[in-house]
Amino acid sequence: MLARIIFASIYDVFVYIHGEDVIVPDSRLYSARGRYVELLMRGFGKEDLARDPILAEPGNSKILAGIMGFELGGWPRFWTESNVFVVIVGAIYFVFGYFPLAVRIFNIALSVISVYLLFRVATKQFGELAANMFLVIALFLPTQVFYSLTLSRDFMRVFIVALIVWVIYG
Amino acid sequence: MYHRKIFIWSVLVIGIPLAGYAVSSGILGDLSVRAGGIIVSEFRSLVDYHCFHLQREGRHYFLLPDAGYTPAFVSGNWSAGSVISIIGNAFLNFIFQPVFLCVFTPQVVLNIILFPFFIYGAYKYFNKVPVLIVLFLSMGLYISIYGSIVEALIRHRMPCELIYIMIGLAGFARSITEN
Repeated sequence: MLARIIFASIYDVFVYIHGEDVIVPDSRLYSARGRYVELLMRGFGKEDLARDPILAEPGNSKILAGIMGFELGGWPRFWTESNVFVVIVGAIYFVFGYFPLAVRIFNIALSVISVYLLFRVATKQFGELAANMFLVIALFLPTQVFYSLTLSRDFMRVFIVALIVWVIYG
Repeated sequence: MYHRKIFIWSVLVIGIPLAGYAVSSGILGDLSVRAGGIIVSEFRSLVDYHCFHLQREGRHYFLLPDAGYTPAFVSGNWSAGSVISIIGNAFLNFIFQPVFLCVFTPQVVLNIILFPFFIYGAYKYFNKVPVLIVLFLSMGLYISIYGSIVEALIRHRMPCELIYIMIGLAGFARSITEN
């Protein structure tokens, strides 16, 4: 996990310099929407949002215009998976400030916890040999390693599936 | 033991008349027709998305040429063969994409190696972990039909691939310990 956090920190610097998340371009959308939710949590009004320096950036201003058009300056109207993730990102920004690395670490934690839950299931159902092999492979699986560096919402789904499996078979 | 017997008998006593009523009154028939309609329309919309969002340029492409199944869906002439073709194609892509060289290639090699062991593990452990295998197949089917863009497919299949690897390794461990 520490190695992944170091990797995520390096990638965060790369994204800051490059300006785009090259692995998952949706990251900018979630980050901007998370900032929007953070500002709502802090009690900012509709007119303050456009003046925010982060949301006023060229890439983000288009996203903000989309959000304002759909959400009308309020909270997300539907509790879809995407909006739940955005609210979590907003809550992380609310606690730590605008800090995308914290969301990356959140995703890494979800990934590692999911693998651990499935490892527990494998230990109980398939024996130690299969479980140990699974743990080693799953922790270094390229998809788990690379996508957990991004602001992808998929790890929430991975975690929920792992949790359901663990509740049933763990 | 006694409580268990009471429970089974009460389920039988209440369940059989209820089931009889559901069948004879047509409630069950209506429900099955409605559920069937929902499933078919959902499947159609997934396949529409699948057929019209295929991307071939660059690193986004699919294993099989679309000539085998896409025209059937575009023209609306559905047949059992074309349905099986698209489900099979989608599921193979779901497990074995990306087929081009990239950072995920080692994982694909692992998936290919584990495939026979996955079949073996799923067969051997189905009685022990049926929900896990059914969850993998149902979620995998949905994601594979929906996901026609390779990058998104790889990302969306992440929960399933952990289950796939777990069952594959369980099958592998069982096969070597049995021998």
